[in-house]
Amino acid sequence: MEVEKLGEEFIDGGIINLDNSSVDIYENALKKIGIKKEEVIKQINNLLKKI
Amino acid sequence: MENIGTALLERIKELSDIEVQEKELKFAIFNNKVYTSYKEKIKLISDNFDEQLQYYGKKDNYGDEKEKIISRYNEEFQKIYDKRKEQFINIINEIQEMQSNQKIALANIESVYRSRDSIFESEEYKEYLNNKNKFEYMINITKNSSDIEKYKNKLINLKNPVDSYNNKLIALVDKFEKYDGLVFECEKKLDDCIIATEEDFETLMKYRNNNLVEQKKENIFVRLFKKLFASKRKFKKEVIEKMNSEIDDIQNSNIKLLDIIENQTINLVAKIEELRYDINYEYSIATE
Repeated sequence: MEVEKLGEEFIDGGIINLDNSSVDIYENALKKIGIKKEEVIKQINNLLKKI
Repeated sequence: MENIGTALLERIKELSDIEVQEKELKFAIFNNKVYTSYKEKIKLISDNFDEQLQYYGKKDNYGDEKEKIISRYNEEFQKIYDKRKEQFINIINEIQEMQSNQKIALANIESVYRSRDSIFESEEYKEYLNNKNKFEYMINITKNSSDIEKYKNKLINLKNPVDSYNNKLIALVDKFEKYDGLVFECEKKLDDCIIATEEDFETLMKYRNNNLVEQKKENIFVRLFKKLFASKRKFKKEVIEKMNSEIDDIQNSNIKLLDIIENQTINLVAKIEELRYDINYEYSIATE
């Protein structure tokens, strides 16, 4: 069975191989950018309150 | 005022970049988990074939037959992966669309906010103030009660351009939040898609697993007899032909399964688009 090749991408400040790394690497990276995302959304909500 | 607008647009750009990375990682996780599940299953089938060789006391490894069986199984796993991948990508595309709509709502908030000062200088606002002052003046000086009522109604029905500005802002924030809820539900569907694929792969194994259960019920004398005396013909019939027949059954049940997956995808996308339409419709009503 062949899965679609995704190549390498620049994620969270580093290059991640999206085909050959372990699932833990992907899940950890997802968690880290999830935290960043929450921070950005918090900043957006604060800006909206000032409007 | 300028700083809030600029800061908002910068956060929108950051959010965009993060969301692209999120999607890439989620696709990588889907591929990784599904491929791991597939490798486990194929190894089980391959090991089982080898165990059958031992069980029937065969020293030849029947390499070609084994390869054909594995290849046929691979095709069936591939069909399921391709259909579930299509489903996964469809959900990701819907999430992307909703996140774009959210950013458009945010950009519109910024644009409406920038127009705030110009409202007070607009002809519309001056006219509103003039009318308001006029009606309040008339209410104060008029003795006739029906005239008072008339001017009070005019005052109530007077549209303040600032209210319209506030309503628009509230409606845009509401739109942003409603899309948030919908995106969250869709992201859960991505996880469901991974689990469903693993379950589909498990289902492919059921025919082989059932036959192994039957084999385990055979008593020790039957097993010994097979190990010592089973002919090539018997091995061919009870293993190779049987496994090929199982794959025929899998092919047939896969036709139905692939249809089911396709319909799931169509229904899911239709439901999401209906909910998106509702959100946009509520926004248009709120800003009339």
